[in-house]
Amino acid sequence: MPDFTLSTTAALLLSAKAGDERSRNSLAERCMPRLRRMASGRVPRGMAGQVEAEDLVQETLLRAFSHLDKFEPRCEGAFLYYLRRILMNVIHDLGRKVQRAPPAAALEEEPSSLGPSPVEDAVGAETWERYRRALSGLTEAQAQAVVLFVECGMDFQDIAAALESPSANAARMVVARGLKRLSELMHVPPGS
Amino acid sequence: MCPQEAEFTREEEERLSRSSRADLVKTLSCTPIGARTARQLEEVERIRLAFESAGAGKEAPPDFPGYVVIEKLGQGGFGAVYRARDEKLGREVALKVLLPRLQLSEAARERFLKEARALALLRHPNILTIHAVLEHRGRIGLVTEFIDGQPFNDLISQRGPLSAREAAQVGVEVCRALAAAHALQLIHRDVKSANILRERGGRIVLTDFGLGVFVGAGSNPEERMKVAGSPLFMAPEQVRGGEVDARTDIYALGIVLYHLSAGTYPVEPCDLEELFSKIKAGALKPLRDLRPDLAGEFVPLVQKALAVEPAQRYQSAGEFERALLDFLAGEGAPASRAAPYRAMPGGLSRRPKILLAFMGGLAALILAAAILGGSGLWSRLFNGSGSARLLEVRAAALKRDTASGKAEALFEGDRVRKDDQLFFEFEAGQDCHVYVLNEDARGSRNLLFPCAGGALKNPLPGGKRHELPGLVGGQKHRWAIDTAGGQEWIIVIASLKPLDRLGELAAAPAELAVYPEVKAEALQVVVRGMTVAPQKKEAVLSGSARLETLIEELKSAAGAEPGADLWIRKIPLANP
Repeated sequence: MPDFTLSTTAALLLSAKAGDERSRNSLAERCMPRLRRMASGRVPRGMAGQVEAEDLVQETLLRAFSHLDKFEPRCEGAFLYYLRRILMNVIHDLGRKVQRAPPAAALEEEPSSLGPSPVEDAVGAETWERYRRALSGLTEAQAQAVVLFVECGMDFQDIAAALESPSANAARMVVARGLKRLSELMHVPPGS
Repeated sequence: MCPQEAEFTREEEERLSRSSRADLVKTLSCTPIGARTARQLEEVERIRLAFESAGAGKEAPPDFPGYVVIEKLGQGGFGAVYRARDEKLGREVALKVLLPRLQLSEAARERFLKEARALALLRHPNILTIHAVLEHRGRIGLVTEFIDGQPFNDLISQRGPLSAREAAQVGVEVCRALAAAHALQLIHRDVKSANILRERGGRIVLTDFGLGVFVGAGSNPEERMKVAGSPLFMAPEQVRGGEVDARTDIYALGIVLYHLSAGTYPVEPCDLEELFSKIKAGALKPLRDLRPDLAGEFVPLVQKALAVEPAQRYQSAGEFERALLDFLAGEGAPASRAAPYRAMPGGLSRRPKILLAFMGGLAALILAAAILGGSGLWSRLFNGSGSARLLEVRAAALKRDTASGKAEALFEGDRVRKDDQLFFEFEAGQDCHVYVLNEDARGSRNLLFPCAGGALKNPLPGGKRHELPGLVGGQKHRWAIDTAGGQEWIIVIASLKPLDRLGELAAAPAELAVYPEVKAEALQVVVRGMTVAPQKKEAVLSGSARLETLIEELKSAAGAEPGADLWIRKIPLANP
């Protein structure tokens, strides 16, 4: 692994794991834009007004840092993928909480639990489910590449850095293969 | 199925290596991947764009050509509402725009357009008027009238509950709006305090038909049975996923009246499951327990609307309206008082500009008492004090004769031209005194009605439609615009009692000039003071400020005459 990567996410992860507060802050700052984008697409419509994407980002980072010892630092892409999993748990937990005791104001609105996320709303529940299912059928490297491209909106240069690919073009090809494989899996019926 | 590395030919790899982030998927689709995979790839691209849309442009203001956004008024789960200016027509409008993150959602767009179509079908003084649907650079927006007022949920939280009489008055107007929608077999499904606005001046407006559903023959049964609505206002059949009909909206209106009169809801906030269970069982807190002081006949009206079985409720909005009107008619003595209102400095609308609206041609029971805020008036209006009788204005529209011989209604901000002939159509439920004034941008005022020599005199008989100014010298007369220029305001005031102070104000030099004579030979009354030179903006504002002063004077005048229920309408017109 080239030395320069150690000055980035992996290095920050190592020192953050060792308890360095500044590294944690730098890491959070570094991941926030990507995480915010993933979160914005996932805030259920019914939770809008009660929970903002920013709340999800904060909660996700808090959980991530409190369990950092469980994460093996490799690269930024892997860390973002790890954050994505935590984010989904955060949304799941918040959804249950809102369901159990919705504030009075929420009851004056459309039911929160019935609201899809913006992305689900945009593409339809079925497509969203197929995408999520197919994603889990990819290799971890492919899944990370696809998530960085599709959900984080990163360009190929950034993806290359995050996945430690030798070049932007190499990252592009990893993404292309991942997308092709993902699309093939998306039209495979569940359980096949 | 085991994932494998997909291989590309050298040529495909070359093409892919030249592709940008935006066209990678498109390039990939051109490789021999098969039609089904290509379709899924398109779906992935939609997901990518949806994330892009959700993460970007959260607050990007809409930039529809011809509309200048003035300020953001609010945002809900689906859309944001802006106050904007229609540059071509020179009037303020409300612009409701689908949130950027939902622009790609077919379902959200369809809901948005559905609301637009529903509003376009409805033309009623108590329903928000839509002007246009806009689409620009992928963004979609509705242009509606701008209402300077507040939703009732805000009013109640700021000022406390209403008296039974006041709540019933609001209920009557909402019933009328619902009757218009139900006549088209359109069920609102989201009647709630937040969707009922009180415009400054007293007009009640039902908004947000986004969840509306058609229930007639040929409508979609799945759509009719879809669980939709705001939980606290949902009827048992909605909660059960049963079919909705007009009685579903009547139940929701029952909850609204409960909320308006109790200041709270019949079910305490709890989790959805418990809430729905209570709704289905009809386990609602009795209104009487919360407001033992409410007028006796009012509580059963609300209870009937809230019956679990639709068959036990009012069967139509008209029936509910009739019951509310009967209650109001029986309110010979002053209604019970609501809890004291908290003082609210700065007038009625500190959070001004909730959406949308002015409506000419209105035919509605207008809340007794008047306009333009002021806690004193509000208290008079909503504390149940004042007149034992209720001024019921059934029709009020400023109209213009047209070449076809059919008069057209003029709305706020409409443009008038030289030689236009105007009249005011008016009908009230009781005999009442009507005054029509005109003010121009220079602040010059005229009393257009009553006019000297006119056959129509105050009080105008109730239950009969009148055209003002009416006959003069045996001939039908009109007010005529005799010169172009500037801005005009027409102010119409109706009162159960004569406004003697108005005469005094009219006599005040340079403030209010009574039109002296009528040209008996002409088929019109030439309105002095409608002739104004083009005004600068400052002058327009000055004129408006003077109008406010006049209205304040009238309010004072009304306040000095107990029982003089007052109805005022202000219609600005452009006369460039």
